[in-house]
Amino acid sequence: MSVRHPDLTPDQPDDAGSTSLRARLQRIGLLARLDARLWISDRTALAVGFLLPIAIVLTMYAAFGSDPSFSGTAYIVDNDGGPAAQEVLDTLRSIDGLTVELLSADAAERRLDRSNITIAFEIPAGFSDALQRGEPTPLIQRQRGNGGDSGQVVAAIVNAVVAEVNAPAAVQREAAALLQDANLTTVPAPDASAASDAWQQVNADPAVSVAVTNAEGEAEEVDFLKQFYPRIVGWMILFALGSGAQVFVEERRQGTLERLTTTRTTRLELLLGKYAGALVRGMLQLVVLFAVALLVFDIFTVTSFISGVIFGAICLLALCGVMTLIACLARTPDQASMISTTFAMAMGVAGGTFIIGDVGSLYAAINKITVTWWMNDGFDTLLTKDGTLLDVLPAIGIMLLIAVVTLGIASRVFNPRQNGGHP
Amino acid sequence: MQVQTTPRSTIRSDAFVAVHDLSRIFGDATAVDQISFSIRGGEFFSLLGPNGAGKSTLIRMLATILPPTSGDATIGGHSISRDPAAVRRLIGFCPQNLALYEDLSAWDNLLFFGGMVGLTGAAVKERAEEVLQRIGLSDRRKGRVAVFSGGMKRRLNIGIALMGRPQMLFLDEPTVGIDPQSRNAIFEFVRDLNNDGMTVLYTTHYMEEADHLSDRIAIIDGGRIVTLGTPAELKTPYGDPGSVTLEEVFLQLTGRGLRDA
Repeated sequence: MSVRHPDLTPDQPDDAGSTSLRARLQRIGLLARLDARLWISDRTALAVGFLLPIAIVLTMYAAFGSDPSFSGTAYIVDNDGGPAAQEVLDTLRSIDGLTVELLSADAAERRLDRSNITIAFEIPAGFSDALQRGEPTPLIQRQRGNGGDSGQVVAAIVNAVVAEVNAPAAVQREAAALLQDANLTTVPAPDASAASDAWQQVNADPAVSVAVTNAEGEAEEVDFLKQFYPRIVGWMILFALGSGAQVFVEERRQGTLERLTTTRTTRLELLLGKYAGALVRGMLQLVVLFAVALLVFDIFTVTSFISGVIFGAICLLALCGVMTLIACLARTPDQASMISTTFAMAMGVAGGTFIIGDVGSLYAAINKITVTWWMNDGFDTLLTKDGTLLDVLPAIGIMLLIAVVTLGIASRVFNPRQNGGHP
Repeated sequence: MQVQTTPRSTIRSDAFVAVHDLSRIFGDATAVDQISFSIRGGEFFSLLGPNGAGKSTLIRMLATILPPTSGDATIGGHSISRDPAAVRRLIGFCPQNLALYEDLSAWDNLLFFGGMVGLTGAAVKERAEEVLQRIGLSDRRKGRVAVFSGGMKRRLNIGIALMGRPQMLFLDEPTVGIDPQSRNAIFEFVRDLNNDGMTVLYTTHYMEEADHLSDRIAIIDGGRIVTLGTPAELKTPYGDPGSVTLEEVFLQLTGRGLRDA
């Protein structure tokens, strides 16, 4: 019986070229594009991938980053009405989290009696005149019990402000006393204006001050969004890659990967295609979320955006390698989900995404053996310290090493067959 | 129970598929046990057997998914062990389960799998168009596969296997779980492919399917071929081929006990 080969036309697949590098890259590209396309067509995945990181950052920013944690009201009875009293009120009003409510003396008394308020402050009559004469004058503090926790904080703030307003008068009085003690009666004592200038000079160069540092002991002002936005983005990408690992295992379970092995696709091409797919999804997330940060939150400069994306892409090589390995090791989608979620959680907690260990602590040491710490540290260097990619070379080296090792192991253990080949 | 083995001498020199002592062992279990047979080019060859008989393992070895534990087979002169890449260029494989992307359209599934067998540009679109017409899904090309009926999915499952213009088609229980109308449509479609010269290796549990479609049938049980021949040849030992059914032959050869493998 002669063999008739159906449909053999000139456009038959290019058999000779199927092992060429171009053909291999084309198949890997098709697999990656398929993964990205399936992901983009899933609206839930998109919402989780793009909106959730922004929502988490904004929630954290609202909770910890912008508004002060303290909120209280200073109830003031102004019996003076002079400029110094006004200065006290203006200074108090300028303090974040503190509201100033003016009361009459009777109203303050009545509300204290009824326990509507626990503490009130009276600026005595003649307060401004006394200060003008260089006579520091205290406020009168009325309270129920100890004034309550919030009342004590308000009292501390009010006392600090009054002390500040009183300070020039104290300088004026002390200077006059020193001149008198030294019998320098012919030298005029400083007036209120000169005393105020002297106090400002002292304040400008204090003998003792408190230096604010971050947890790593570095003296720097922390920009909440700059520090946490890339961390949350990296962390959420890790979760998204975890769901990709789950889909990968699901495909193996359904037999699409096995079917692909009967085409011209090799096992390694399949693995690299799935890896590239994860990489494409991660890059889409990274670029879009960083672009939002550049355009909306003003976290990046154009330069730090470019270096951030490049460094993020290198980090993705490692993260995708880890997730690909998890997908190769997991036998069921549930296993892949559990392992990848646990990994992402562990990296978030131990990798310093939210809390960084104090220098020299065990937690700080644990931080440094996680992939996320190196990623977060790299982003910190690029964004908050104006570093360059050269400054994050150690992190880049570690990411590339992780990528090579995880992909190497994955290529050994990857089995595209359904049920591992068992019937 | 009558057992007919296929001696190696029966492997024809003009065979398109030649299977020599092929075995596959999983742990302690021998799924396929030194099977030998041949399939001529253009032949419609069916494998029948109870659950766990070794049909799917055999077809997966021939489709180069599973490496054999021992023995070998050639397809179009290429060894499945030594040159699986060459074998893959000749075959199309339609697995028992629906191995397609349900979130994509029929058209996109065909384009993707076409790309994976090396078709590019206009060629892949032309081929996808041909296949869509052949499987009767032209008017549903843009529909998401997830909303297709079982029969439509089964047709697409076969269509995907045709994208690479294979010389040989492996169909592993392609009509399982669908209504008689869809099954009949698939019969006709597969028969047409075979009439066009395509070699077909078909596994099924439906005896009348195999009887109606096959040039030759091998009944396999316990990993071994228990009989092989044309439908009439299989029936003759049990009476008039016109009145004996293939199911009676099958039950005679494989027994009536339940198979839970």
